[in-house]
Amino acid sequence: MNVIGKILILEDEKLNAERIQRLMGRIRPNMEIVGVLASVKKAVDWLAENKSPDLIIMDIQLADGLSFEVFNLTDVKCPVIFTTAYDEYAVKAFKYNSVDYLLKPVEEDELEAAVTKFENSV
Amino acid sequence: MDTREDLANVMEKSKAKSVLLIAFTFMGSYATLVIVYPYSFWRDYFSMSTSKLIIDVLVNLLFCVAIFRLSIFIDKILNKKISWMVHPIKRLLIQTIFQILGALFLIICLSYLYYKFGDLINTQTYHIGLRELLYTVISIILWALMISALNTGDFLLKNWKTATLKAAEYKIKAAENKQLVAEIELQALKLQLDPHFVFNNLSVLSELILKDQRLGYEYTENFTKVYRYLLINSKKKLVTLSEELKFLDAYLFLIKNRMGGGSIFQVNIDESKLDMLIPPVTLQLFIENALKFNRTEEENPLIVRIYSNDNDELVVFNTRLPLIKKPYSTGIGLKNIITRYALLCDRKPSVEETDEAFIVKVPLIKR
Repeated sequence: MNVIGKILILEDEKLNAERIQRLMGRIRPNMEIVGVLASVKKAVDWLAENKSPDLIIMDIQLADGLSFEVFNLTDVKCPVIFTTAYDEYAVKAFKYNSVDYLLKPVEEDELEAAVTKFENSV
Repeated sequence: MDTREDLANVMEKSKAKSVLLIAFTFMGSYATLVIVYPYSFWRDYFSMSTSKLIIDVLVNLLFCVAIFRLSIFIDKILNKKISWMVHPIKRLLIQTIFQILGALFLIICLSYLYYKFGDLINTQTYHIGLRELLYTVISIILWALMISALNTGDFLLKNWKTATLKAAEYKIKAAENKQLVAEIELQALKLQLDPHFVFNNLSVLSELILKDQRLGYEYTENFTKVYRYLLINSKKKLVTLSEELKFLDAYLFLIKNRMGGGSIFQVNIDESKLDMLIPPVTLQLFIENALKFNRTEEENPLIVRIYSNDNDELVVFNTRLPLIKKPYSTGIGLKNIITRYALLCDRKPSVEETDEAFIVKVPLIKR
């Protein structure tokens, strides 16, 4: 059932990024975290230089702007799970390749449900 | 509006009013004379030579101007001594007496002039009876009183108008202030319930407890301090700078542990200013804005300086590192601080924005 996938994390707060990494390690130990990036610019550069990941887990507020800018600056080929502290961007997040929209602190059950949804859609 | 222009306008108006009143008196005087004097008088009158007629008319005009001036003068003097608002009856009596005396004085002067120089300017060809003379005197006095009444009426009307306008202005101002206070309270309430703030911190906290219990403990303590400060103080009008700085310490602790090295804060406040006052949560707003509008990358951190200057101001300076796209903002937070100050003191906050830096200065208020 568990597919092997490459996951990119966009998150500017270190502890929140660590939390996602830790939870992913528990629910999908065979998935690989290929990068943790703090800004839109780094994400755009990374996506230009590397093969597209299978899934991006994306915080909405990054160090240099809203993560929606990534979609405007480059072609995002994979699905996205958004994370945010509050739901004010939920409607906007719908417009992009979003699988799910998770509220912080991200709960293990919710993250697992979102990842399962992603796996089923592939 | 230009006040000089206003003043010129008012003077123009009062001049026009004077001319109108004099013309009114002048015509009125003839109207009264027509009633008082018999036909024979007018027949004789118009049989005078034109030059004499003109002189007579001019003398009459001069007399009207004199009566008018005297009336205005008495009014002006009494306005200073006895107010219509405080002693209306006393004022009415005194004004009437003075007007009558003034008019009599003028009549005596005029009669004297006629007596002395009458032959030079006007050979009296007509005879005036005692009755007519009495009528004339009475009508002149009545005219003097009428001018006085008109003038007073105008004065009272103007006063009433200004008073009404002032009352209306005051009402509007009071309503505006009430609305402002409500807005400020609403903003404070929003701040208390800001879900971003709460959940971001809780998210970090829960991870921190797993990673570093000691730090997790400290984070909880500081989060408590910050949240309690927001709840208790955001409704107050003013707090001491030292209270706000204690809050700032706890707030910056949270930010540093949440955001890492993306921002650097330098606080340098002169100790003598610690007892001065500022509206609560002012610093939090400026820092929140600095973080909201600028990049916070570890490679190129945002620098925020918070210091006091010699003009009794608190300064928040931050370098400018614009985001990829300018975030949407109503600017309500900063506007609110400025309006809050407008209600508190005469000094205003100032905002300075250059390509390199954003600087806000807020006055520190003396106890």
